[in-house]
Amino acid sequence: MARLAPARALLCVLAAAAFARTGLADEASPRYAIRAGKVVTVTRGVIDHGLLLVSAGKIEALGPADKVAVPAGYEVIDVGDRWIMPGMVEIHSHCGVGWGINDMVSQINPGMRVGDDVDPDAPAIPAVLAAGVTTVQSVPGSGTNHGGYGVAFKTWGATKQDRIIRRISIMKMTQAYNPERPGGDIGASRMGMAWLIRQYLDSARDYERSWEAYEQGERKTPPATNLGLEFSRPVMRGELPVLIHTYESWGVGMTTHMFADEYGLKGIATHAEWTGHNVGEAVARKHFAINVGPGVVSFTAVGDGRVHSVVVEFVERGVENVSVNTDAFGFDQAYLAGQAAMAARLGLDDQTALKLVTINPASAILLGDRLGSLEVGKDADLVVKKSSLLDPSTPVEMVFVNGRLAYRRDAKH
Amino acid sequence: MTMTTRLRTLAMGMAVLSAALWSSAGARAGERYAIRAGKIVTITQGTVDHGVILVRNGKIEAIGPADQTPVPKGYALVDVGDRWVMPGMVEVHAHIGIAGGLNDMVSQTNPGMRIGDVLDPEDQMVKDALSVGITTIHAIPGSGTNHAGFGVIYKTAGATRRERLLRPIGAMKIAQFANPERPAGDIGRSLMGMTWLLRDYLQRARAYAQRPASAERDLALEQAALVFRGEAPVLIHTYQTWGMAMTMHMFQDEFNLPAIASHSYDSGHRMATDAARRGFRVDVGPGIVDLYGAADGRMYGVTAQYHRAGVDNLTVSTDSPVLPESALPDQAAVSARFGVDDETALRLVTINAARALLVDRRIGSLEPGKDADLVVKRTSLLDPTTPVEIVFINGKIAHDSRPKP
Repeated sequence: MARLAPARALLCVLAAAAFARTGLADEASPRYAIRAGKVVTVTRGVIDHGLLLVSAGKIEALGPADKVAVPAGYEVIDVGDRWIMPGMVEIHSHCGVGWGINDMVSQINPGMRVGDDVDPDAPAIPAVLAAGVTTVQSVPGSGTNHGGYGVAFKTWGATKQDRIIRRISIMKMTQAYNPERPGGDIGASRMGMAWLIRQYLDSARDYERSWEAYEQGERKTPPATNLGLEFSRPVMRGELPVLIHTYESWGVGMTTHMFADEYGLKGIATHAEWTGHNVGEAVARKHFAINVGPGVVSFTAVGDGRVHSVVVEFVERGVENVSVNTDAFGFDQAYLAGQAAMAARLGLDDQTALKLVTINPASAILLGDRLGSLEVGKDADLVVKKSSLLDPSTPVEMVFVNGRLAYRRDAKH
Repeated sequence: MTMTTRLRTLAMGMAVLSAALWSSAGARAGERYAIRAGKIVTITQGTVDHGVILVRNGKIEAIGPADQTPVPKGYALVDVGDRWVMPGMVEVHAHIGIAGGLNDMVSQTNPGMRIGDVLDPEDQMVKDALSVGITTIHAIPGSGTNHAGFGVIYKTAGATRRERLLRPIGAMKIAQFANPERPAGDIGRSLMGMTWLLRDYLQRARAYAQRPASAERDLALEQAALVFRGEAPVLIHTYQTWGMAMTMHMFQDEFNLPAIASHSYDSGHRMATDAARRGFRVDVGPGIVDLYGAADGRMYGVTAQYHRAGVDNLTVSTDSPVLPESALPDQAAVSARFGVDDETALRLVTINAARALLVDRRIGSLEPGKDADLVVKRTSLLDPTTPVEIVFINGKIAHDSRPKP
């Protein structure tokens, strides 16, 4: 109890500060000029013998070393012929939070936020950082149809507030398998679950519409505040996405139909394994994102006796935004790069495979303007390594988060 | 024969029309077929010997005798020799093509639920159904509760959900007898209690359907309003004399809904005269032979009993997977064996089923403008000794078991 009390007090203070980012830390941020053999921007090609300037936590400039001047006051870090790449982004994880990712009483839990429970001391995080993963989105579990809201955070930062990108980052839904249960509630069957989800989305949409009507002066009295539905408002406006745990073609079909066609939401169908790719063309037409994992290899669904990558199946059917996950602790969070490497091993070109763990997941959670590639103005989240992130045979040597050196490999490791 | 003359005129009309449209027809390029067959069994407009069907943009464009129906340019000719072309069959009462979750067993009435949410495009049973010439299936929730939700009407082939769906909301599914009775502590464990729950629900649904436009929306009752507006039917799981009597009274006299009594066997046919007088829609299956109701020790075909009493709106169903879906034509054939004439027996699985589901403007017979859902076979759909060779759905070849050249 004594241990919990200060933590709770801290949470209250942090909650008050909410999304505000202070400029004080940036003032004191170090300035680096990093010279590297290869700068892999992900979105704008590869620069050989490049230079990258970092200041105020952001990427200030990048280009060929002989064309970018190093201003005075910048510490030069020469990494030789090593590569510099964006930090990886995980969007379906359960790590970095304390405990209790499922509250198993109700199927629909709109008032719950796993971000209330981000643990700056989570023992798994240093290893995640060392693997080159700089952003993690942790989501509630799949024990209920709607476990609550996820949180997006960096894997390093002096304070908890430094780490958190969005305290409420995504609506987490579950449409197949795990929430099916023999209990006495409505929603034990898939049909019943669909009803509960639709009922929730409908009330969320109505809630947002009535507030919009009030804010635009179409109604005089404000609607009654519903704390549970407050969190859903940015999702209904398309400012935050929804992540839906689903499987197989029937599930991916149902998910994309319900969330994209019926409610017009921005979202990601996650897991999506087994036969999910068989409805890939329809997913592509709806511009829905797909997040594959933790199983990225489909042994059964194609039926020709060969091993196929679920990722490749979706990419070939035209889905624009495909990413991979570890579902940590489904797989170890540090294995994220391995998920992308497996897709490359089964037919995806290297450039596209890198996007599976960088710009695609960043864009899918509507943070593509800050994360996921090396571009001027973006967060300076960088990984230095002897070869590509996809190559498991070389270790990550340095990781920068928000422009600060967050990890440096010890020669012994 | 007058039918044939009428068709001929119609076909010529269509041919002229299609010629007139020719210049602008390229806008939406779909597959175009001219199918030449020994017999075209239209179901609603007689049979055309040595006929041609033109198919364009997923629809039947024209039907007529081969010597009077010119094949326009750009149509792929499919000559099936002396084989027959018939409409694809329509299943009224099935539980396949869905990924589980037939019954959510908590409440007796579940008006918000839709089985169409869990459509499963991988289901092998649907692929089997296609291969015997079933082109449309009405899949419904189970009978574990009084009102398990709403069905879905889909085609047995199609590249996408949109292509497959004929109507996302099928019938309101009601179970009045046997299965929803249960020893739990809820209201509704007795027949009388279940009837109260249903009547209470239907009253609320009717009031909702007639509400002023400004009234608050009730998501659960939105679907029921479709039925009260006559846009979707109600399908009632019922049996026996008293069950049929209760069903017809409640859904026609009290609520006047487009209703289908389904199952309807176990002495249900004793209400056949009443059903005929009312014009009630009766769906028989999976049991189709009456072993209990006849006191003279003989077997009776349930459909034949209804047919003889004058029930016109008569269909058969498999309740698959209770019977395999592929048994649907056999249900019609057994009906014929017990005394339903061949022409009527074919209607049981085509136009009657389409009418019962309120989708006969789209499917159930071969008429210009209707969906090109076609079955090619050596003989009638009722003949189990010849295989289905080609099935078209929405004007595309969905199944083809002809030997490859």
